[in-house]
Amino acid sequence: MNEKYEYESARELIKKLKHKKTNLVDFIIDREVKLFGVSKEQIILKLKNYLKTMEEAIKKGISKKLNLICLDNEAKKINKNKIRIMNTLEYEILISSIAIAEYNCSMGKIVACPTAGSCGILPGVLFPIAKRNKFSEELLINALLVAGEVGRLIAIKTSISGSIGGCMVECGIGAAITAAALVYLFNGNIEQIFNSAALALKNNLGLICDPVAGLVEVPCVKRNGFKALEALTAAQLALVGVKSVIPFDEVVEVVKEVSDNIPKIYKETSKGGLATTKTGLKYRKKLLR
Amino acid sequence: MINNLYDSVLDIIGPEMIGPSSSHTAGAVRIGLACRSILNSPLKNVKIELYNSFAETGFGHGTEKAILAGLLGLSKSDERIKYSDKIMKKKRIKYTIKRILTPNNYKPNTAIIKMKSNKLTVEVVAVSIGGGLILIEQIDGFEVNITAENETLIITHKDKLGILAKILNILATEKMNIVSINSVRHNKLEDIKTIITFDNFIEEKIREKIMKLDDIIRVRIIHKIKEIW
Repeated sequence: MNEKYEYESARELIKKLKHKKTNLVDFIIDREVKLFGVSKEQIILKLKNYLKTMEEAIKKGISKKLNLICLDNEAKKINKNKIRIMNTLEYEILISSIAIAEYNCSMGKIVACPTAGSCGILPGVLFPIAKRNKFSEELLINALLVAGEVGRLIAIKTSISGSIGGCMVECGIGAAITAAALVYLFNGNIEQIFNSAALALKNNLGLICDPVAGLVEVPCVKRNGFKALEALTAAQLALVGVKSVIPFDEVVEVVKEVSDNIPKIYKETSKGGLATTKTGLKYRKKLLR
Repeated sequence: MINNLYDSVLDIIGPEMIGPSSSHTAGAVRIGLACRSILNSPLKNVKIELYNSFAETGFGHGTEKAILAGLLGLSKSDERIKYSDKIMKKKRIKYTIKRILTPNNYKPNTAIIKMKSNKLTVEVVAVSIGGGLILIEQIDGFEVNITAENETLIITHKDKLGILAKILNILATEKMNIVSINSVRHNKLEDIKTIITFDNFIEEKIREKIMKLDDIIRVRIIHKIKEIW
């Protein structure tokens, strides 16, 4: 591997960026180009297509009739209801993130970020925010790159599979990378980007994966909505200068430690938690019929 | 310790895929694609058996449609996956899907796929191992353990002196860059299976050239299915 790109932590990455006097996005693109022999244009085109797929998934998740086992067109229902506690932006984020996650369950086309089960968080936040702030497509592509790099620095030490680290490494990482992308979009610096990710990650330590009937429906779909708003909280805090007392790299070590200690019944096996409740087992029976 | 499964930012953002599950849906499509490449002739009839987690939650994740889609040559992001059962009917390919819920020794997400074309019958044991990655464990009862992350040649041949040298000679002439090579014979009566993996694409003419050698029984090509770029 190219020596310039040998680093395993946010601390090392930040040091490299300061040393090279280069910005994060250029560095990420450079790294992909050097390590995978692709062109910058190819990367941008791929992410452009991803953005299209994500936006399409929001629309279809709200408008289409979806046939699911446990859920019943939740995003559609939320979209129609007029009772509001939240502001319009937060409400739109809630609908979008749930819509994508629900569309995913109905065999819709999505972009995993980091996984299919957590695919609603990042786009569910990005699109309503971009619409309101008139962020360009180019800026959104950069935000995806930042999210990817922050996620990578978590994943290389842990995993993105619920069978290894529970939901902590699926929706948990989803929330962390979304927070990072948001901080980038609002011109936060690199320290703030990693602070936001650390804040979000800390809030996900120990989150179990106990899907009802083994499906990516309960609690996954609605959790995408919760995590989207959690990402918003983490980004808001980091942007006004709130720091994670425990730094990002140390939080990542804890994610690994907790992953190793979560009981197997809570790692995508559906052998405990919500999956084995009376109601959970009823849905399992329904599926096996 | 560093997990090199996530070298690229695109391992975190992406892939683009049909949901809901990378192991139950995307991985299942790739199992179908690998089987299609193993059969290498128009499919007429297929019997699919789903085991363990594939059997328990597979129907809710569209696993059966995903495997059919792969057999039809659709990619993991093709929106027609949802209708692959209808496409099979339209193409008049017969299929049956069976869920095996009794205790067994297979891995969590295992499928056994029995394919028939006009010329051949092939039985494959395949496993989805997570994140859309797969393992072809057996072909016709013979252990192969192929990931389909590389181009793979499986050559069944008689136990004759110098036959491997002749095969390697053809591969060198065709400028094939070998990643790994493995020859196995389980007992003296059995034919040998030589499994060779490559970086570069295996063209049909390589199969034809090897088939022309003496003592070759069968040559299978399994094309790489990992789509990063």
